[in-house]
Amino acid sequence: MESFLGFNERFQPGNWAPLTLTLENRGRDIEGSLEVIVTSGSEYLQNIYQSTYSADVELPYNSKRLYAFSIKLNSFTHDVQIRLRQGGELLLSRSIALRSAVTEKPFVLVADEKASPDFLSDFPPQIFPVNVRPKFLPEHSYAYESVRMMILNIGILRKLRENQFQALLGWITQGGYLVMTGGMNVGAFSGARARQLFPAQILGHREFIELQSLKDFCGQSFRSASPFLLLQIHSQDAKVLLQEREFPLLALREMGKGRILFSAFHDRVPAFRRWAGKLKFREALLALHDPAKNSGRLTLPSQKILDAMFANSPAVIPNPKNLVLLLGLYLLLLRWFFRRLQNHRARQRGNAIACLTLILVCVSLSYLLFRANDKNALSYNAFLHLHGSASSQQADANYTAGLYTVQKTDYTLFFDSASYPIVYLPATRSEGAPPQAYRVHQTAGGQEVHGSSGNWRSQFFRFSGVVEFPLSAEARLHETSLELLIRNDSDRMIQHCRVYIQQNLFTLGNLQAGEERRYNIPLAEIREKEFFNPREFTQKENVPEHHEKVSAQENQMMRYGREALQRLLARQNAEPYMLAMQKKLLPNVLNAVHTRYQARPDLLCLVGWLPESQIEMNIPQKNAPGESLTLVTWEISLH
Amino acid sequence: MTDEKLTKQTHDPLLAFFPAMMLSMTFYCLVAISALFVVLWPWGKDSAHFIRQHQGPSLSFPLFTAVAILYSYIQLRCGRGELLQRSHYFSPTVIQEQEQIFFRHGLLMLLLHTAFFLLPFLPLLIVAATVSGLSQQVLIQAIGLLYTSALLFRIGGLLLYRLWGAASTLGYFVGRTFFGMFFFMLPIYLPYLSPLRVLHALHKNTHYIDEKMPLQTAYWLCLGMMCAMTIITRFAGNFAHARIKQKDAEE
Repeated sequence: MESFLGFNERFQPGNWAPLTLTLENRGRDIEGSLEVIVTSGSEYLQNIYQSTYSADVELPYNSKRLYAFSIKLNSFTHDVQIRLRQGGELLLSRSIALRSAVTEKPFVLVADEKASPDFLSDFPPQIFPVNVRPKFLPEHSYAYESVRMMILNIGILRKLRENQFQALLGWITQGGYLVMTGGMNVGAFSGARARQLFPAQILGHREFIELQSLKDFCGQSFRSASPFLLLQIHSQDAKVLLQEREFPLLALREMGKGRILFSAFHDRVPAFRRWAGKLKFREALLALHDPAKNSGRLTLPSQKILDAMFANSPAVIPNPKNLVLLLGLYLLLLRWFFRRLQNHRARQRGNAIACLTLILVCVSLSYLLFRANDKNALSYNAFLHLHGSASSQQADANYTAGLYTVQKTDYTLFFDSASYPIVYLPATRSEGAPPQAYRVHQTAGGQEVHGSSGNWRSQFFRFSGVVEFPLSAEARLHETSLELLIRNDSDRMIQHCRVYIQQNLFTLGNLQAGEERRYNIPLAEIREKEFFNPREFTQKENVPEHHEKVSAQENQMMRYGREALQRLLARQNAEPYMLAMQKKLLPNVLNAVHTRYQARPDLLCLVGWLPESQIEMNIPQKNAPGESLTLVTWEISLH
Repeated sequence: MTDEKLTKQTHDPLLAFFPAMMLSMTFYCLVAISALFVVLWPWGKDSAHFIRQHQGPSLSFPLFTAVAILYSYIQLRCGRGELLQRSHYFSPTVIQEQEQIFFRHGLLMLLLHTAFFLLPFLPLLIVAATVSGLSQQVLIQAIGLLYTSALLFRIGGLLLYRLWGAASTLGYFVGRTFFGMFFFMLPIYLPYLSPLRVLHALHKNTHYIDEKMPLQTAYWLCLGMMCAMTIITRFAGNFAHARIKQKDAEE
């Protein structure tokens, strides 16, 4: 077995990293399971737990296969264990030490088989450049989490496996930054993958001896002793950032939230290696896009979500009032039958049968209750937050699933066919309870999470991704009013919609599936009716010290805001889980919206709820009861 | 073997099965258990509270323990004949007396009689197990322990009755002493054989008792011990009866 962890055996702790394993079988056929065990947590905090990533293995005699995983490495303290099992037999066990592989710096990947070793020199010191062979690139988009930029020779695209290419596409769409170089390879642009990434027309080559325009870009021009050729392209989807005498040197294409930059000027130009401006050129390239800064996500406090889900867990204790009434009735009836058994000797047999029948009926009823509760031994709830913008129908999804077990239970979670970066969330308020081990098993049909939960335990999982959500909205400012047009093309009703506009909150009601609605909000109301005050919705312990010093007028507005919100909640007729979660989370949601958009008068935010989740999670065994909820926050630009 | 309780009586065939005192005592014990059930119910707490603490409501173990003690005590008294009403002015007319082999005649009735007086407690026990999140296997094992311990004391009471009769003070104190030692001293000195310790481990869903003995091993050990004691007591009763008959014949 050969292993290749991270990018050139390097990884950034706290992020996902790729792990490629190559298995070669020179013996009998093997059908088993390959497991990668990552140990997280701290002995000091007593929260050690193991996350296992597994895949089915089929290795015929004299075969060699490659298996790609994406694993989350939170620390370097514990080695990564790799095991190959067949049935109950352990065929292979290896460990990978992590101490020497860790780096805190983000990566710049160079995927070019012909890149010279000194190409990696002269990168900014805050970056860790690595040369990665194509076969070791990740197969999941989230494994690029620690990658700041990737420099890819376009010829490499043909060598990628389909999963790798899709992962690369997914990474770019979700905010990644790819710098593509073509070299002299004209044919590489004709491939389907190249056309998908950067559709361009090849116009030929041009000879240069110097590039003065680079001085404007990075402060240093480039001059070569001998002429060199650069590839000229034309792309309708890309914007030319830099050109030399109408020759495009740098062309930028937006793709989702990410960017693809085509650079005609590349490292294979002979004089590039000796160019003094290499470092500045690369710094300028990096400055064009920062995935971390441009993520655009509206984040809600994680602990608040967990607390709200925990407080609204489906596991219930039976209603005691009904039980006490039934108990009283049982005792009365039993007393009556016992007295008849004692006093009515002649009909004792009949009384005995009746008494026995009463007892057996009560035993049966209690057993039915027991069996019903047995089915609820495992229950779950889920919360999905979709944040999108009107310019795109793709939304950032943040999914949290909670499992609650009353009895010791083994569970399996199925997700739909996509691969998600599933992480285990230890609920921080469960002191003294060590996290439980779990296994993420990759199959052709999607991911399965297997685990075991003890008595009266809870487990939370989270992942993020991108989901299609067909909601579009437009806002136009007129002389006296603001016109808001919202179209819900999904097949679900969005309930209890509100829109945040310039520190104001307006209720819009429910949006039916397939409905388009137009709202006209008078500008006078937006300017005068400032009743929304986020401080009202903070927890008492987080109230800033100057809270009591606010003016009397602000106090009145805060009271009005609180009463208005209570009235809004009181009028809702939503399902219990949805209502309960809204009451818990709405202050935090509005706080987050206000924090993000209060300084952006050109942006609106639509807030709505769906009583289901867009992401399907199935728990097949025991028909576990569960509830889901989706929060939609949608950014709308004001025209 | 003859026994008043097993004598056929034409007028009241179920008299021996449903003695009034036993019915009353069972009912009052049931009321006490119900009161305990209501007191121990997790009023005002939801499942989230218990999941946060990683511990279920403290309802099932106290209830099962109380039922084990009360139910076994009732069976001890029944075995000693204390719960059979005797009238000084009226003696039942013996129509027919026939020696019966205990395993062929009396055992089945004894087992059913013992089981019948466990039935009224079952709804409460099952609901308590439901609320506490016990599995079906644990529930069946716990009920098995209750029944077996009660059977032990029923046979033990029968032995004391054969040796010293129903009104004997010595028999009274021997029975109670054994009862106290079994339920209150055994958990301390021989925890692996104590049904209360095994019940506790079952409810806590631990895998070991005192981190030494696997729970299932302790369970079967305890159950086996009680069954063995029951059988030994039964044969001791036979032996005692034979000696008494021999002594009477010599006299």
